Amino acid sequence: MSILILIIGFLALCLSTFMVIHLLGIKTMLLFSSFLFILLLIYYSVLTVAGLIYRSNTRNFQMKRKQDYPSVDILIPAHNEGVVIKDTLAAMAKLKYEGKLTVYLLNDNSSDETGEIADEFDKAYYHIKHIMVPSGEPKGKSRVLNYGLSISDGEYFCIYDADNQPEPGALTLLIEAALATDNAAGAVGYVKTMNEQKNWLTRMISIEFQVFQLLMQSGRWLLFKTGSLTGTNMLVKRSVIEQLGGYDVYAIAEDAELTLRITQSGYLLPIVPQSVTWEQEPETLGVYIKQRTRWLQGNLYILEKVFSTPSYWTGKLIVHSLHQLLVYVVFWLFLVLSYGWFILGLFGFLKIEYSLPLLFMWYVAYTVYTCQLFSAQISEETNKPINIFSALIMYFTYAQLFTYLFVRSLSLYIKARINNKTIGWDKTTRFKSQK
Amino acid sequence: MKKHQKSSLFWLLKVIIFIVLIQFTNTTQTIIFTLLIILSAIFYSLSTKRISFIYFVVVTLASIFYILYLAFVQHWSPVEQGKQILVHFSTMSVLFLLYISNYHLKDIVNENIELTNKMNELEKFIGNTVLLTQSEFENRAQIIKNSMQRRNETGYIISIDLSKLNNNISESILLDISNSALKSVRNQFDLVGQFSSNNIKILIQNTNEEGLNIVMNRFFSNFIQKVDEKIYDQLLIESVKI
Repeated sequence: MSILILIIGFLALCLSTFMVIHLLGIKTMLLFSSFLFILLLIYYSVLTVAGLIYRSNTRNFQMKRKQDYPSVDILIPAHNEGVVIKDTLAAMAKLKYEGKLTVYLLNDNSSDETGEIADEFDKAYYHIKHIMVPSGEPKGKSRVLNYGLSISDGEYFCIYDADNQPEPGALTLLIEAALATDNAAGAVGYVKTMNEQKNWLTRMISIEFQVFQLLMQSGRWLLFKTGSLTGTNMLVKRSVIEQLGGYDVYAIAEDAELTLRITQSGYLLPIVPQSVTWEQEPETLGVYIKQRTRWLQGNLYILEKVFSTPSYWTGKLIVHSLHQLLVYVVFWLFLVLSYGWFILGLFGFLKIEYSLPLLFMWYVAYTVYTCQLFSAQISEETNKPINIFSALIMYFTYAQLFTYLFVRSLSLYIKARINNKTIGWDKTTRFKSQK
Repeated sequence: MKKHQKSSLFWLLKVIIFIVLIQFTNTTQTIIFTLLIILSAIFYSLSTKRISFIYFVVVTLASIFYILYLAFVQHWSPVEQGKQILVHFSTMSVLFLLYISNYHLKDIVNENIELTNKMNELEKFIGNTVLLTQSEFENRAQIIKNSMQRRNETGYIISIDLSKLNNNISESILLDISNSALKSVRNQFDLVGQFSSNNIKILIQNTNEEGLNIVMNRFFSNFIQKVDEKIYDQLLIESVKI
């Protein structure tokens, strides 16, 4: 039903675009889209400055009164993570936390040495448990996490991906932020790339992460008091997830989906830049495309929910819904239209007599984007010459991959929905650590 | 590339862009451009690294949106837009290079302050004397105090203050006090340290009041061998049992 709504919605959008062009003329349409695009750029510019201001505070959260640290369960879903799990569990053993802490390695039917390594840690440390997750459908992180929640009982739970190495104080900072913020459902930390120097791809992924965290996390938190769960280095109160009915097992981007439900319920998710975990990013283009296709499909699932659920357009949730709409509909549409326009113009099929400063608008877009990248690098103190050069060329290289990834994800998503199939969970390939 | 090489390169780039840019701008634009550079340089030098960068981002974004507004209102041709892009990009490049140079300069200054502090901390003796520095005296005194406590022993810290002395002679007298103090205590056993330009501290360990008096008398006789007794009377001497 919802896929039908999506298709009808898309067709209606195309039809209305053509009608508007015919009724108002192409110049008016151009003017309208230009202003919409400028608004988008201004919005992201404001977010950049807000992010910089938020990041310039060295400590953003202070507990109002001295209180005991609550019990926390760390959940680590793992499926064939033999390459990285030793380092991950070693990092967990180094965590400093004053309250009761239990680490659950949720082994989702691994066939490699994940289980053996986890057993060694289980035997050596009282607080590290190796848990075998029973097989089940649909496959994926959400089901494993729901199982983890069913066998644990801490007041809070914190998720770390199986390739993560949090800094010793990361968890304490998250808890302090959650306790210091009224009506907080938990807290979200920062994710940094441990294999940033491996190649150009990892370097650009790292910059992209820094930008996301500066604008979408720090910037939006300062301006709108909204934060997003990032799937790792994130803390949630058990009572909140119980109230919301656990993870949606069909959501591939389970973190983004849960964020929407938490925000819808009126809870806050404070952002804690000082709480840092280090993780691996894809080192090859193949692995990157696979991972990003899964993420984008997850976001399309959320977009479908945004379109089909009127309550997603109320209160603070508007910030998230608008973001989904701006990135995955408006921005993409602009992008595709501009490509089409460029190609048609190149071959002389389309000639428009315009008086709009389109060339300068393009320059504004490039500058705003590059400013964001520089800002992120300055915030994280990663502004080495090679990273500055990467930032200058990212618009022409890495950023252009988005179109291909989006088209790939959209076609796979629509195909799966038409065939009424559940979208499978594609595990990201890990690489040998070289921190 | 080393930091000082980077800084030189940035300066060179700034000068080149500046010279090239003023060839393509009219007088008003050149004045605005020069003023912006001067004001930014002042701002960067007065503020922190992060605040400086926020300033750079705000100036870049505000200026670019303002120029876009002008482009809309004045219906700029693609050639005019291209020219303005070049001018804006060059201006912002100079501002960014200025920021980066300042960033490196502040890094070097901070590193220098840090290293100086560390060096002061690591320094054991004042100049070429065997007089201990304050941090070295405090570290050694702490160990001695702990040991004495475990062995149920007593000791004394004597403080000699010169603040009442005439400024013209205090530096010279300080040297005599140090020499006298070092001659009066047990070598390689008691401590003598300089805390400021007019304060010397002596730690005598494993001794009683009688031992304290012996040291004080020895100090007195050593001191007045060279310096007038009236000067001794002006010294503020205090002893505390530890």
